[in-house]
Amino acid sequence: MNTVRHEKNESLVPIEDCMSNNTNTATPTPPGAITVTFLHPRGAGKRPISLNKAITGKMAIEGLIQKRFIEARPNSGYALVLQRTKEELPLERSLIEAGLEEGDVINVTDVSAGAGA
Amino acid sequence: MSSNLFARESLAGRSRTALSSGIVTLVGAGAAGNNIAQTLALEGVGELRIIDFDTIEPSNATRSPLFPKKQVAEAPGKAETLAHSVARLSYAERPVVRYGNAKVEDLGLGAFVGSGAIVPAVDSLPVRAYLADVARLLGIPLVEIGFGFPVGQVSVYKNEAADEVCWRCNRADASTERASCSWYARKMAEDGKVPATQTLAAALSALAAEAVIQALHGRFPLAGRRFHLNVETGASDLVTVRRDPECAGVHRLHEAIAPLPVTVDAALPEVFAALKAMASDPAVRLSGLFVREAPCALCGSCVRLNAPARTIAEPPRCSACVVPASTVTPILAFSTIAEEDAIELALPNLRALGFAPGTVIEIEDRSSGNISAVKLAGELGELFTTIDLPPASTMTVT
Repeated sequence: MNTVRHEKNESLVPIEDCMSNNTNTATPTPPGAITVTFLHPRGAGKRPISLNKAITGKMAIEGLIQKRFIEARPNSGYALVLQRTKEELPLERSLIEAGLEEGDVINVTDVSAGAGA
Repeated sequence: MSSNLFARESLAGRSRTALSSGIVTLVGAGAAGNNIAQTLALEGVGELRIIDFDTIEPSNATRSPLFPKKQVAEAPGKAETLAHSVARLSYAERPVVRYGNAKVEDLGLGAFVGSGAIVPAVDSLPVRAYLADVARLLGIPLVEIGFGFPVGQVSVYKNEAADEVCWRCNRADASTERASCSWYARKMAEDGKVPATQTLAAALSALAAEAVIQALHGRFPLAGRRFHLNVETGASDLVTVRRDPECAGVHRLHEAIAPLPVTVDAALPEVFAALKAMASDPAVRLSGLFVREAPCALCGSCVRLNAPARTIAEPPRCSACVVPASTVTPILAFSTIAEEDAIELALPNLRALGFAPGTVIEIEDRSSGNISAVKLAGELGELFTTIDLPPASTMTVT
């Protein structure tokens, strides 16, 4: 099971507990968490997700792969782009600390290292 | 050559001086490399350096306009084949095309010195990371291109300052697995992914070539941003990339690189004597780890390797191992080499440490902590084969 490290209490918690689907409106967003929407890189849908402060960009991408929203791709990766600013979000830092706000929309973008060998 | 040859390009703000004196190093001679080289040759860029150690495969042909049809089946080297085609196509006033059928790390940093732009047109993420570091250290603009049908991107990094965003910023996904571009392409095909089509390669290569031409003019309209294109739907996006404070890349550059009057084959005492004129307690920073010893893959006992890590293809084996050892030897490797290390390792010269002729070496002064850079003596001819064509004025263009 993938784990994430909380910055403050250094405890390890399952990534599933930090990042959950929030499509069911009856499920309240946990305290300190925000709900944002990820858009598929090739227009194949969107996914509202509840994020807490510990989630980094890299964890979010891993979570989206685990939830089969996007697929693991050889020799390429993904970037997260905040739609309201057109700026890339950090992979190694907390998304909330990077300025993500409740209701934000994030484009998941393919970044390929292919050059046509 | 007719003075009207570049009339249209002049209207677009192209400077003949900037282009004919421009040097571009293109790493990777696949679909992106072909399409970018084709455009730069037509635009009259003065010197192209093309590096690729792979050979042509049949699947390359339909995305590589400069691989002659009749040669594809013979599986010649990609770099050599592309270089000869580019040389014939070039409209530079005196075109110089150099090629290296080699792994780019083996050519060292000297292969890039003088370049106005570096283009990583390779499938390998670790090689892209290496090139991003090289470009930053030498202060050379990097024009990046990558694609996997139907999407791709182009981004530009000016590399004018150490703390600017670099290609490695926010690329925590870059694996350390190294393989040839052909291997990556086959892996993608096996997984049902389309690595490239000519439409995608041509569209994005045109954008990358334009960014290179702008860079040769000292203009960087795309710097710090990444352009994304879906060639199937026409969707596009322009994204601002940001400096990652945790970036694992090289965020330092050397504005002045002093010549060191020794070659890569000079004895190490001679090298350190020359370095002491520049730093009181010099240590040579290696471009990768140098492994003195490592455990035998079977019995765990010590195997003396004395080789750069990148040249060690197989797990080490000792000459006679039957019983597993009670203790496993730790790996002993160096990232810097001081004079006492050189004596202990008993190495003959810098080449044995993995350096190439004419390369740029970082020197750490252990007494002050300062890092400087020196360039070894050496000629490009030791790294590249050069196709030097007659001046274009002797060519007939109708």
